[in-house]
Amino acid sequence: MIDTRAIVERLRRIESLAIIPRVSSTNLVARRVVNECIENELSLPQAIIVAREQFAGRGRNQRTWSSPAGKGIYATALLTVSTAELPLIPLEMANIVASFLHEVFAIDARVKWPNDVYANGRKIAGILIEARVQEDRAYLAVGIGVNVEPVTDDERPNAIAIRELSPRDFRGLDEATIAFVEHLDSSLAEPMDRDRVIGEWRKRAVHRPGERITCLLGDRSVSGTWAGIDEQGRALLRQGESVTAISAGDIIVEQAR
Amino acid sequence: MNFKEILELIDKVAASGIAGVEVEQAGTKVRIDGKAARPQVVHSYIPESNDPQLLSSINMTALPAASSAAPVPTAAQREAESEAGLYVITSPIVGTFYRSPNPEAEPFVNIGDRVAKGKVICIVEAMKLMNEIECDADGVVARIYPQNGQPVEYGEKLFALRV
Repeated sequence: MIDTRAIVERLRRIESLAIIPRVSSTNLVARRVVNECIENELSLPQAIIVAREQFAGRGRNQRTWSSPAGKGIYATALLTVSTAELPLIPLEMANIVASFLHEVFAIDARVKWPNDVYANGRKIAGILIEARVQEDRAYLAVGIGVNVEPVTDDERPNAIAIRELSPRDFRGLDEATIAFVEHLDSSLAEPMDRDRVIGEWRKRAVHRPGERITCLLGDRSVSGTWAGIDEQGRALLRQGESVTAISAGDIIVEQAR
Repeated sequence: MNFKEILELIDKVAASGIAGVEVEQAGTKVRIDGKAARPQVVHSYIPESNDPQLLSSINMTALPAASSAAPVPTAAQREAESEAGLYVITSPIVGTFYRSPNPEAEPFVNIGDRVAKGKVICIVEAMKLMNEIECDADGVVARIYPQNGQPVEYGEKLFALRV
């Protein structure tokens, strides 16, 4: 049993926390709240929605995110940020999830551009961010899935869970969920400084300079080697003497560590 | 799709009494609305192609107007005329353009749809952040410039509305 009221009292940025036994997807619920606020010109509550189970959890491009009860943290943060901060959000969210795994569970979590989270070369967490821009503000639904207990799942052969990697003893999902909410809140309460976000992401990157990567963009693909990220968070792909900055598309790494 | 096939399609739509039909073939998209007494080609486009054969078929889609007394405009004239009265929505960011919330879903909008200010009309994805782009005027969707899944630049035309 999670005492949401007691947790909310300790939080700095997040105003409310909802724990729902079973939903289609927390991002879908969050998007409905965003739409409702925009249509009625209400301010968006800074909130975290947690589901015990999702029956239509999803990742990007409607890939499913398997969300059985008792196995993972399935959460969406409703946030309002300035449009100036928006480009940093994908990298910062990856930083926050990776630092949660590192600080709370002593897991060496790494980030793959822009915001996949890997540990031991396997995916441990996923992030899906949806945004509505209203003048100089952006209303965000930041969906985060973290594997806590191992799942035998044919759909995700490359997945790994906290339980399989953490040297620390922890009681279970509720403890992990509370720690996650508190870590997310305290991280979001810090100012989003560009140099700090970019620097932290670089430190945690799974990529190594010179590693072969391919970028898929629409029906085009470009291959080259990884040359880091620039100050705007764009991936840099080197082809001989030229370097291309990539802000959209999928990056395929020959081997993610 | 050639001129003859388009004319045949128009005849079939007119005779059938159905509301309309949208056909996409080899990069050319033709939509025929049959609600009016005289079927009308509402829109046709070809993205990123200079193939003369395909372009000529686009020119020809303007021809149904020939069934009335109106002179047939050239593609260039049509372009200028149609751009003039339209409200153009451009991309606020560099990213990938998506017409629907997910690959299985219906597009947010289609050509001919009436849209109100504030309606989400597409997604532009950048760095895995799905930006839902809102319509910033009331009107009827007259053009959709990029293809689904196509990369778009900052300021690139996404939609044109007849306001």
